[in-house]
Amino acid sequence: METPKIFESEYRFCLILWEHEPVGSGELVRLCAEQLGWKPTTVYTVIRRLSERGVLKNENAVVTSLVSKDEVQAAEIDELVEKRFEGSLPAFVAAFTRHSRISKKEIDAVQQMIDSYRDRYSAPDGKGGSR
Amino acid sequence: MTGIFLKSVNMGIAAGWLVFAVMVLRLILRRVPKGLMLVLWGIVALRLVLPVSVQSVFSLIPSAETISPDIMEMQEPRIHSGITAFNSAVNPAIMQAFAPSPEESANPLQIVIPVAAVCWVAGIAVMLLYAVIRYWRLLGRIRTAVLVLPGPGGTVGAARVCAYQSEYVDSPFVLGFLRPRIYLQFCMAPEDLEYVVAHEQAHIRHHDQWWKLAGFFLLSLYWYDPVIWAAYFLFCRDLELACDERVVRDLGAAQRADYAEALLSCSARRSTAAVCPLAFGETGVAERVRNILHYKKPAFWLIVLAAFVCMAVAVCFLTDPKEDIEENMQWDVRPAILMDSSRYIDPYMPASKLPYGYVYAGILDAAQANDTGLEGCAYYTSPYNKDYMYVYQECGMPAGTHEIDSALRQYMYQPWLREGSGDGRNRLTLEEVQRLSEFGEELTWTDFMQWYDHVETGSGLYIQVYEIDGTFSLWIGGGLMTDAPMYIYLQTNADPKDRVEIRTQDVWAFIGAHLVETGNLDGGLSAR
Repeated sequence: METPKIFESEYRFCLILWEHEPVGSGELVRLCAEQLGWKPTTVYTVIRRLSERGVLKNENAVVTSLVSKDEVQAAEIDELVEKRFEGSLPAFVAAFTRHSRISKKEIDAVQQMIDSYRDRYSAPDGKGGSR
Repeated sequence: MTGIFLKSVNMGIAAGWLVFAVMVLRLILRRVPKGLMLVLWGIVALRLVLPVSVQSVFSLIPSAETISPDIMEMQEPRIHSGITAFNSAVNPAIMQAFAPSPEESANPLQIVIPVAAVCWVAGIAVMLLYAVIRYWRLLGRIRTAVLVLPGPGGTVGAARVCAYQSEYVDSPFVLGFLRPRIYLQFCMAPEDLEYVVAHEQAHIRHHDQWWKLAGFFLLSLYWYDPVIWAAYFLFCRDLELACDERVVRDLGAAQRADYAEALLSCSARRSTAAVCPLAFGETGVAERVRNILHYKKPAFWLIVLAAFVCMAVAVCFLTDPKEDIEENMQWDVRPAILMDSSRYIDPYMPASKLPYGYVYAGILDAAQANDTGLEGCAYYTSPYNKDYMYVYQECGMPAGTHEIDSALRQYMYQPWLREGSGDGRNRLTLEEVQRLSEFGEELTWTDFMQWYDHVETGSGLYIQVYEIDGTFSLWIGGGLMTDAPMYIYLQTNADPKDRVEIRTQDVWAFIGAHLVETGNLDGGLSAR
């Protein structure tokens, strides 16, 4: 299933939800007022909008998410790569490294991720080892 | 309502001159603190709202009342811009378009101006409605904006204002009047955020949201005036520049560069030109950056200069010109009708009947009427006297042989004298004889001797001879000058017995018969 579109401020709301779910809607109103500065009506409006889009469900005043944070992040990256880099992941990474300063530590962490990915998926058919 | 509309048009035109002055000062006084510009815009606003204004000789406003409230009732509608060249260029066209035609006395402006007034009110409603709708729509969109300052768990201090972030924000702004809030876009670098919030807080500290609201309200009232639109946009820009100065005043050079950079990064992504009228959009980033980087604490003499400029502008532009100056400018040239490359001037003594030989010659057009307001009036000429022409026009009522009661107005035949036609004022003319003959028995010696050249020829009796032209002369005779004359004859020079008593006999027929006889008149001319 396609991961539903979530706007930036809704994402901030989802961060609270993912941290505390399953959570009563009254408790959610309190958390949002404290952390986002939202009015109760705004919270209920956003809960309704997101449940219509299938991001969460609200049953008996208990709110639970239907998509995970990882899924939303992945969908966001996919959309970005598709829209701005003609679907090319290397082009995306190149643009990213050209523009932002990345510390040695971050490069190592990324390198490690790539290595473990290669071990997991590429080793059996022998494609990965050549470089 | 039309009265209020015309009043607002006049106030808008008067304020337009002030706006031009402020624009010029804005270019000249770049180094002066921008607070000065805000004071100057405040003076513009005063000019736009104050319905009355004192008169002063220092006033630089050309005309306090360009369009008279009576323009709809005028026979010859005209404007008084205070600039003579402009008036004489524009007024003939206005008269041509709006002068009432003789048959229907209604001036077309009686329809045009009320319609314009209705459009004006409708325009105000549209402007205000647009602002309210934009405001509510923006409020609805940024309902989900996320609190960014103070951070979670922090408290809102007395001076600090909450800042929110929303995906619907393109560039930072302040929204709300009683409890204003700062709205920012997402993905701002923390150091940018600090400067931007400082800027917006400076806006709120100076209640700029209210000033801008007042400015927009005035713009709505004068929505038809492009000068006021220009003034509004420059005012918004100066509001930002002044706010930048407040923030930058306490910053070091390096911090100023950072502040300018924050400004640039916030404005770069601006997508739509349509800025909500009641929010703070970014205007003129290049000018703002230049201003920030070049900012110096103003020297004392600059502040004194600024105060002086404000006072001078207030005195020169908040006051109206003295009325009499306007009157003099209107009539510095003697009214004249232009006809066959001659100027006919100085109307005096109108007549109820046309003198002999004068026939209808046409209607005065705009060029001939030459700003006398007589366009559309019928005029009459004579083939044997080019020194006079007559216009059937509104004028005063003759109260004696040489007196006019200007309060009594009616239509009569008004003689106009050709300029440079010698001493026609002093020589008795046939036209004058015909006019005077209408007074009949009332005529006295003084009606003639005070006004016209004559010679005394009497011995024993008083006899005065008034030469008229080669054909005619007038003779008055009697015992005492205090009594009525024994006779007043109009007679031919060729035969003194060929004469007519002008008080009792038909002067008109006498002249007609002799002019035909002497061939001065072509035979085709018949009686009226």
